[in-house]
Parts: sequence; C-alpha cells; structure tokens
Amino acid sequence: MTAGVRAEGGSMSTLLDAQGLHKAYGPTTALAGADLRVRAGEIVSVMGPSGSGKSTLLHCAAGLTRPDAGHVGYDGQELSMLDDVRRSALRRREFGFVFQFGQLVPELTALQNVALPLRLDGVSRRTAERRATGLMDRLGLADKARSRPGELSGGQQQRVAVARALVTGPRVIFADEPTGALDSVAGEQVMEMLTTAAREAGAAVVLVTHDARVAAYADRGIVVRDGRSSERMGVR
Amino acid sequence: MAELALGVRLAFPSGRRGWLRTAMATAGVAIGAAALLLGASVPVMLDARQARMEARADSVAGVEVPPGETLIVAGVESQWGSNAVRGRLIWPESPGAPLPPGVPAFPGDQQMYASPALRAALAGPDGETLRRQMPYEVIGTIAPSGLSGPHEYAYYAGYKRAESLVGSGSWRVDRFGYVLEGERGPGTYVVVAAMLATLLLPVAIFIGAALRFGADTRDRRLAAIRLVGADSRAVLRIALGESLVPAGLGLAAGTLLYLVVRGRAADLRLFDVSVFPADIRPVPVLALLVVAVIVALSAGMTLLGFRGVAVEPLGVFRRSTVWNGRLWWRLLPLAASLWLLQPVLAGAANPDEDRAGLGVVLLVIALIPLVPYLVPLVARVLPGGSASWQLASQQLRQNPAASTRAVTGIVVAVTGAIALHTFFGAASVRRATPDNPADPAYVLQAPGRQTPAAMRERTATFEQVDGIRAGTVAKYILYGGRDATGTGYLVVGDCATLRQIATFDRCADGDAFVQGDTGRTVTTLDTGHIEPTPGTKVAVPAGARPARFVGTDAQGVNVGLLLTPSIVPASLARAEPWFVETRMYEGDDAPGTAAGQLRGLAAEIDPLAQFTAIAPEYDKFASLRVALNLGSAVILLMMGVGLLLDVASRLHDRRRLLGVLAAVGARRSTVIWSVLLQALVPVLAGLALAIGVGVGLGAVLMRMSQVPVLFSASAVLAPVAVGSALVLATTVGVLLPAARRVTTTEELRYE
Repeated sequence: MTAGVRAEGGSMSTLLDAQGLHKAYGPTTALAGADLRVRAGEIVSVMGPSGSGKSTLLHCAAGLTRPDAGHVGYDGQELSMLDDVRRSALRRREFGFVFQFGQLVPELTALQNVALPLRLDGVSRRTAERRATGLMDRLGLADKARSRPGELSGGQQQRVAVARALVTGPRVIFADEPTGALDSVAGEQVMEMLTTAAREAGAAVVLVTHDARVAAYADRGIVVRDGRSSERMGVR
Repeated sequence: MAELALGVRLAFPSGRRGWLRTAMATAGVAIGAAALLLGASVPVMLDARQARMEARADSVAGVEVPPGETLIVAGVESQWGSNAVRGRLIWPESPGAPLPPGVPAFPGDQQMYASPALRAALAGPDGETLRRQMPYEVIGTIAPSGLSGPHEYAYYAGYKRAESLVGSGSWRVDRFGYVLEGERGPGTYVVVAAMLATLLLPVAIFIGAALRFGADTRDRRLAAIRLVGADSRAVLRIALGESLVPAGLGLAAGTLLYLVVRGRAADLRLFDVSVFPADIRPVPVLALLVVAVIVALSAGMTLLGFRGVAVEPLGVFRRSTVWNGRLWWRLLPLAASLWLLQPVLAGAANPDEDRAGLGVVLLVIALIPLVPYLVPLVARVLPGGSASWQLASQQLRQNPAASTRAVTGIVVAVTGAIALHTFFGAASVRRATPDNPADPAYVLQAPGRQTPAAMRERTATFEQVDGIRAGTVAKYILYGGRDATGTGYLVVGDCATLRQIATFDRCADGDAFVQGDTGRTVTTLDTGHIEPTPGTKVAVPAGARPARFVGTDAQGVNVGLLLTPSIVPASLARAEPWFVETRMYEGDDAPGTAAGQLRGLAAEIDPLAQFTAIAPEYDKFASLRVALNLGSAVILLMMGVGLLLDVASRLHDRRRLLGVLAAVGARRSTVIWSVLLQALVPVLAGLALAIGVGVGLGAVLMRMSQVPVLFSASAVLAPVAVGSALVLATTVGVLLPAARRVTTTEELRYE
C-alpha cells in the first residue's frame, strides 16, 4: 500500500463541498442531511451499509443527480445551478468516474474507450489516442489497447476504466465500488493503480465502498448511515 | 460532426447480437429501399411503354388518308393462351411509305417480322397451331422500339391483298405515332391506390421495426458515454450517427437488390404487360425522395425511440406511465376515410376517383392507431385465468404500443390482401361468365357474301374442333331512317343456327320469323357508306311467325326478321351483308386449346376476319392474383421477420424480469406461456380487425369497379391463414427456443 497519510485540516484547499444534502426516491429517503467535503488531491472513502445512501451521496456530489435540498459547491460553482451542458463539460474535464461495471462502451477498443472523453471534448483523434496510449503504457495496459472490453477480464476492464477516468487530468475521481465485481487480488491491483495514479496526477478521489480493505487506501473516511454522514474515526 | 462520426463508429458492433442488430436493420432498410426505388421507377416505366405504343400507333380514327407515300395497314388482334397477339398486315404503296417502328424493312408478300416472344412461341411445342393464325414466313425480328414490352406477341406481315381491302378491313397511314386514348378503366386508380397502400405501409413499418431493433443496448451504451461527459444533445447526435449506418448500408444494399430485380425484369410479366429492364429507371426526383425518406425515417425512428426515455449518466430511465389510450383521435382517420368513401358506399353513379382513392389509403392507415387500442381492450375483456395470462394481460394493457408495433404491419398487409383477393375473386367471377348465357363463346365476323352451302361448310369447319358447336348466319342491319343507324337485324341462317339467336315455335327450311312490328317490308342498311344509306328492300313473308331475339342480339332490337335460306329473295342474295357471322359454343368436353385451334381456322378463312371471344379464354386475373399472392407472401415474410425482431428485442429487454420470475419459483411453462400469449393475442386481435376492414375495403373496391359485391370464404380466410401460419412459425420456431433461453435464473447473473 502506498496510500499516504494526510493531516485533517492541512494546507490543502476545499475543492468539493456538499452540505446538507437531502434526496428521496418516492417514499424512500436516500439522503437526510449528508455532508461531504473533499480537498484537492486527497482520497476520501465513503462507507456504510447497503442502502445507507453512500452511492446517492457520490452521485449528488458529482452532479449526476440533483439533490432535493442542500448544495454542492465545486471550485466556486454551485453544481445544482449548472445546466446539463455545463455539468457534462465538468464530467469531461474536471471529473473522472470508475464504477463497478457497465461504464465501458463494448463497441470501442480499450484505447478508444480511454480516448473517448477527449474525443467528446473536441480533441482530435490522433492527439486523443496519443495521450490515451501514453497513459495506458504507464498503467501497464499497452498490450490491451486493441482489445474490446468483452475480451478483457474484469480486473483489466476496471484498469481501463481507471485510465479513462485519468486521461483528461481530472481534479476529482469518483469511484463507486470499483472493486465490487473483482476478486481480492484483482481488486488490490486496481486500487493500487487508482490511488497511485491519482496521487501522481494530484487528483482527489471519492471512494465509495463497503470493503474496509479498500477504504484503507483513503486518507480519511466518512460513514453514511440512514442518509446522514459522519467523519469516520480511525482512518490513517 | 465528431459525435455523428462516433455514432457511425458505434454502429459497427462487437459481438454476435450487435452484428445481428446491424444486419437486420440493414436488411430491413434494403428491402424497403428496393421496394421504394421500384415504386419510383413505375412512372418512367409506364411513360417509356406509353411512348413506344404511341410511336407505333396507326389508328387514324376514321380519317381517310389519301394515297401517296402511304402504307396500307390491316389490324389483326388475336389471342394465344393468355397473350394478346398484335398483328399488322401491311403493304407499302410507295417506297417512301412510313416504316413501322422496330421493323428494318418492308416484308414481302406473305413474309413477316415477329417479336422475339412470338418467334419463341412459334418455335415452341404448340407452334404449329399458332402458325395457322399467321402462316407467313418469318424473315426477322421486331426491335424493342416497336414493342410495348419484351414478352409482347406482335408481328408485321406483308400482305399484298390489303391493297384491295382499303375501306373494308384495311386503311392507309402516312405516318406512325398517332396519339392513343387513355386505357384506364373505372376503378383502376382506386385498386392501384389500395395495392400501393397495403404494400408500402408495411414496408415503412418494417423499416421502423428493423431500425428499433436493439434500441435498449444502444441506450445503455449511450448512458456510458453520458457518464464520461456527453450532454443530452451530443448523445442524440451520436444516436443519429449510429442510425445513419443501417440507413446508408441499407440504401446501398437496396440499390443492389433493385438492380438485381431490374436485371430480371424481362422475365416478369403482369397482366399482359412486360417491361424492358432499360425502362426501369427511377424518376430522379423520386429517387432523391427515397433517399430522403429512408434517412428521415431512420432519424425519425431514432428520435421517436427517445420519447419517454431519459439517457442519463447513471443509466437509462424510462418514464413509465399507465397507458391511457383514448379512442376519439384514433377514430379520426377512420371517420375521414368513411367520409371520403361515402359516395361509393351510397352507390353514387360516378364517384370521384381521386377522392375514393384517398379514402381507400386512409382506411388502411386508419388501422395503425386502432390496433394498439384494440389489444388492451381484448386483454381487459378476456377473463382472467391462469398466472401466465395474468402476466401477459398486464403487459398488454400497460404497454400495448410495444406489443403491437410489429403486428400493425401484419394487420395492414392482411387487410389489403383480403380486400384485393375478394375484389379479384368477384371480378373474375363476373368476367369468366358471359353476361348472357344465350351468348356463344366465340364469334367470327367476316365481310363478304356467302352462299348457304358455303355457310354450312364454314360451320362444319369449326365443328371439326372437339366440343365445339357452331352456326353461320348472314347478318344485315335494318335501315331505320337518316337519323338512326338501325333498329334491328335481318338474319339469314338455317333453323339450327337461327335457334341460337332467337326463340320461336318450330322451324323448317322456308320458314320466316319476325319480331315486333316490321310492316310489310324492311330495308337493309348499306354499310358501304358513312352516312346511313338504305340498301335492299325485302318483303316480309306473309307467313312469318313471331320470334324473340335472345342474348346480346336482343339488346336494342325493336324489330327483326329471321329467314331460312330457301325463302331469301334474290335481291337480298345479291346484296352485301353487314357480315357473315359464325357463332361457336364451347361444350364441357372442349380441349383447353380449342380457342387457339378456332383462331387458326378463322385466320385460314380470312386473316382479316374478326374473331371475338365473348367469354375470356383464360382467367385474366390469374397473373394479377399470382402477383398479389407473391407480393402478399413477401410482405408477410417481411412482417414475420419484423415480428421476430420485435419479439426478440422485447424478450431481451425483459430477461431480468423473466429471470426474477424463474428465481421466485414460477414454472417455466407459466413464464413461456405468458411470453407466447403476449405475442399471439395482439396478432389474433389484429387479424380479427383485418377481416372486418378487409371485407369492407373489398366491398368498396367492388362497388367502385361495378363488380357485384360477392365474398368467398377462401378469399377472406387464405390471407388470414397465411398470416396465422407465419406467426405460428415465428413463435414456435424462434420465439419458443429464445424464451426457453431467457427464462432461467442465469439471466440474473449480471444484475
């Protein structure tokens, strides 16, 4: 493990600040006043039992879902006030995502998948693929560039997803159960790669997991229970 | 543009299912594009045919052309099996006489140029019988420019005797290319409109079904792209780009298919019409329109597919609303069509064909919104019972549009097939039977005097053919004054033949019969003049007994005189009759080739004699029925594939639910039955609607064409049976194995 220890309240500035988030799906309350604060470059784990609202917290914080109440500030902007075009631009340039599964496009090769956010941002194919290739080389995926997701193992697919999340040089990576579908060895490899690469790139990571071994990669953690968050004690 | 390009890239899929999706959509568009391109070629095809027919037209419409650089022409219109034979006996009056189109030089006396199809028939197994109709030496072939189509039977024969027949069988022309009158019969337009609507609508529905195939997979893919930063408009552009690939590939494949069909066009024949492949060219504007329609349809179907669907970064969300089908707007097209068809339904004498055609098309279109309303209604009305029916009926009630998408095409196709089958069935019943049972099957009319012995000999000639009973009479028209062309007939013939024309008590040679008040004398019409001119005066014999004309001869006849040969006065025997007519009746024991043999004998007597078949020698609608059956089969096959695509797609969409049902212990048979009922109930409900509307549409077509409204069970049930068989084959052959595969808990593996 290479996860570093950062002091709470250190010199890093707050990058993402979610305060008093409420979200309900019909009669079911998912969030009831949850908070999440992320500083630049830190890794924050979000833990909690099933149905506690941790994924909903991540979705609200990333602007994927609008909260019913509360606010999400990112770099001086209120996310819930942004329209679809500007939130999409944020997802392309500032955020990266690694989910449990389903986020790779099966029709595209691994290289094309990694280059996709750049292509959507108007970068030429040659430049986008050059940057994607460089990143995949660094992450040990060079030999998988021409493979399609269906030809890769679960662990390899997640590593491609990590590469894609990093290719635009994001400031925050949102990872929702990134090892949930992997065995422990593959899971460890993915987490190692994700956290190392994020630290090298200076990107913050919001890591939703129910696995304490995965949460151990974080600098600090919060726990979500019944839609409310609290700072987790005992994290390095 | 980058998004469109990405969409194009995504249309080249990975995996078997992805390729199947693209292949099916491409095939669907290809078939539709080929059908539309053929439709777009019809105007050019008809124009080219019409232009050739006009270029060779030689009818001077009664105008006398003075001799000069002229050609003498006599027309011989005949028949060989189901083929009309266009014969022209020609003789040039000067070397500068006009040459018929497609003929390289004037044939010598008793020589002919024949069309390729006629040459082939003359060389065929029954060629000798056919040759009796045209016993001329074949010296060459008529070029395509002189033919209406590649299968036309036509010849130009040199016939020196035509010179002496000008005014009585032949005429002069100083050129070719007289304008033809329109040949369209009443109701034809409406029938064509009905055929196009029932053929093209299912094609459009099929293209739609093919393009929607696999939309669920596409939506999930787009959600993944949303996650990495595509906004909702970008996603739409990607989807549009993706839909352009099957549209583009389908257009290319459809054009190829069109070219293949075009290449085979010379082998095809419909009615008596055949076309040269060179004539099958799409109207450029219509071809562009086809491309635009395909692209617009694919884009439209893509946009329509996003109705009620939100593709978000976290996944695809379908706005599930309780289906609340309202009836009133669904009835609007039906009401509009009934309003348009009202004059026809009310039995108006001359209904507006354009209005009726629009009404017919609208009636077919009216089915489209009605089917999704009918299905949940049936699901509600049918009693609840087994668990499988409960599952099926819920799905049918909540999402009838999805359940009936592919069925609508089948309903439209079957409706059209029922309507056209019943129409052609009734029309062929009317036309296969002489209007009057007293009429002969064939009549030969030849100008010139005949002695009673020669007339008997002529009768005997035709009675050589097995199963033929004949009789020959000399027929005169009675002069009815300057302003009338005639009021009746004077007929000379033996007793047996006169009995074919009129009823009377008894007859022996020397008897005379009369109908109506003739007075003491009658006067024949001298047919050698254009103006009515009195001919020979004939005293009505004192002992003439009453008679009554029958059959077609009775129509419009006020007075008539029938004479047996020995009572004919000498003055009449010297006069030229209107014509000598041999009437031929066909017995049940007559061979199928009787008509051909009789025509050959008639041509030997006089090539210019007019041989008329009162009842057709063959079923004129047979070829059209074959074409209709073929068209229906192709359309229903397309519909079957569409249904298959649709059901497979819906099964794929619902595999999680089916897996859950299997997981909670539902019997596999229960789940499979629910799937089958969901496929079958809309089809059965739709077919019931098709029977109702198809029969109504058939009645409209019959009324429009003045065909007696007559329905046969086979005409109604045959298309229904074919449609049902298709559905059965689809469900049993494909759906059942697919349903077995997805009704396992294995489907939950990925959830």
